[in-house]
Amino acid sequence: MTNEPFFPFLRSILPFLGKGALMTVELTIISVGIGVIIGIFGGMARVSRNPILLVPSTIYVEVIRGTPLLAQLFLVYFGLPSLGINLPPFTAAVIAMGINSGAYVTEIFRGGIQSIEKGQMEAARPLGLSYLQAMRYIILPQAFKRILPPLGNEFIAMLKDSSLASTIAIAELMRVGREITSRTFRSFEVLTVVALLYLAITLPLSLLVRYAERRMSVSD
Amino acid sequence: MIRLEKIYKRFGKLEVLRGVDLNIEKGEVVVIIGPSGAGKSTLLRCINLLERPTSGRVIFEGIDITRMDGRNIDKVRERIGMVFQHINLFNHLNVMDNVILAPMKVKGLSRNTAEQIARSLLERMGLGDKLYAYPSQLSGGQRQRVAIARALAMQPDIMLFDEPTSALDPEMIKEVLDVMKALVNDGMTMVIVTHEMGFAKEVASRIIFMDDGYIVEEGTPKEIFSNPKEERTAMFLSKILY
Ligand SMILES: Nc1ncnc2c1ncn2[C@@H]1O[C@H](COP(=O)(O)OP(=O)(O)OP(=O)(O)O)[C@@H](O)[C@H]1O
Ligand SMILES: [Mg+2]
Repeated sequence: MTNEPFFPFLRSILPFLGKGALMTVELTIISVGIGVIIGIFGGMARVSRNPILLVPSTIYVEVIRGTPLLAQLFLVYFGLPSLGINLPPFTAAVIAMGINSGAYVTEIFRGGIQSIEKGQMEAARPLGLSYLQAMRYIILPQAFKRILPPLGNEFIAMLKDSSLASTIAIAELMRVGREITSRTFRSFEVLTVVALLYLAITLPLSLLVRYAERRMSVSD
Repeated sequence: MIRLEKIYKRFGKLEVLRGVDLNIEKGEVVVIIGPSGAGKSTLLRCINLLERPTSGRVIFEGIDITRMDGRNIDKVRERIGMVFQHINLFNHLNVMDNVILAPMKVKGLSRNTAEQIARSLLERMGLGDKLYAYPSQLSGGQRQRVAIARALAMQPDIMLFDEPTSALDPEMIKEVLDVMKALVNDGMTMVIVTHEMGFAKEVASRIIFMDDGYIVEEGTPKEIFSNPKEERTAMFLSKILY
């Protein structure tokens, strides 16, 4: 197997790598999905003048962004069991990555909300809409459109960072690559293919993001 | 209908309103005039508590709303329509959705009912062919008429206008004033801040001249324009009427 020509070798490992890539995408979608849910509320908390919302959300963002994702991942997977909380690897990964992503998405939403002209809120309140209704029906829909590009970038970043989940025994793309490497010793070829597979997912996404950015700069 | 009692408003050290008393009866059209910085906008914003008075009371139909909590203030705001100089339609919604949003989400009207109300309002304002246009596709005058329709769709008891034509090109001023005149003819209670003196003369049941944070003088258009009692009123009018 180690002397097999490249293309047949590639064909034999691609199904495994493909499965790994699927796992990577799944992990990323769920994590960023959690991140977006956290981010909507986090972003609103970050623009609030109420310290009960503002202070914890700021601490959350600073702590998460100021510490490595790997440390967060280990804390959830290896650290929580000592408190009697045992999580399966996938759950642990999704929790750690979701909370991590949430901090970045919070800041994205904060920026998006702040980018909407003050007049939109000012027009909504006299109509009897509450602050939360104005957020929901007026501010967030407009903010959401504007933050699609940075959200896309966050997705791309998380997709790459999800390779860290290989350290807690999740069979995502990186992990599968390393397992094949240790079986076949063809590190260079395998890891190159792994890298190209990441690129195959991220490149179309970044092109899409750039296209969206360009369209937005034209429309407003 | 609305009574303001001893309204003071301070922004930091700046005292913008200094003891304003004002009573607005149902069906009245009160026009507020005065130089820039007099506190006209601030006063208007105190009426629906967009600005909280530093002291004083706003009594809406016998109830002191300055003491209310946020939820109840929203309830009061439903009944007080407001139109600003800076026209802020909801950019992501078309004309129809701009107008029906609050009736649906605040009053709980069905889409059907809300659309019926909106359509007849918009048609009356000459916007029947713009129901599904987006704000960016409208002229300033059209946008302001949509803003008026949006406020009216809540079927308010009173309408507040803060220089609704000041941001408009001259040729669009008339279309907005005409819409407002139609409202006056319908008997709507209105408080209008404006520099359009001809319009003020024509529609006002009472003119209030404000300067320096308080009401200097008030009276019928005839009293104010033909023989103002106060020196400052005369000065202001001579400047504005050439
Ligand atoms: N939110 C605010 N913070 C600080 N100062 C304010 C605020 N709003 C208004 N002011 C100040 O209060 C004063 C009165 O403002 P206001 O807008 O009520 O005047 P106005 O009579 O409406 O003037 P204009 O004709 O220019 O619209 C001004 O000096 C203004 O700078
Ligand atoms: Mg003003």
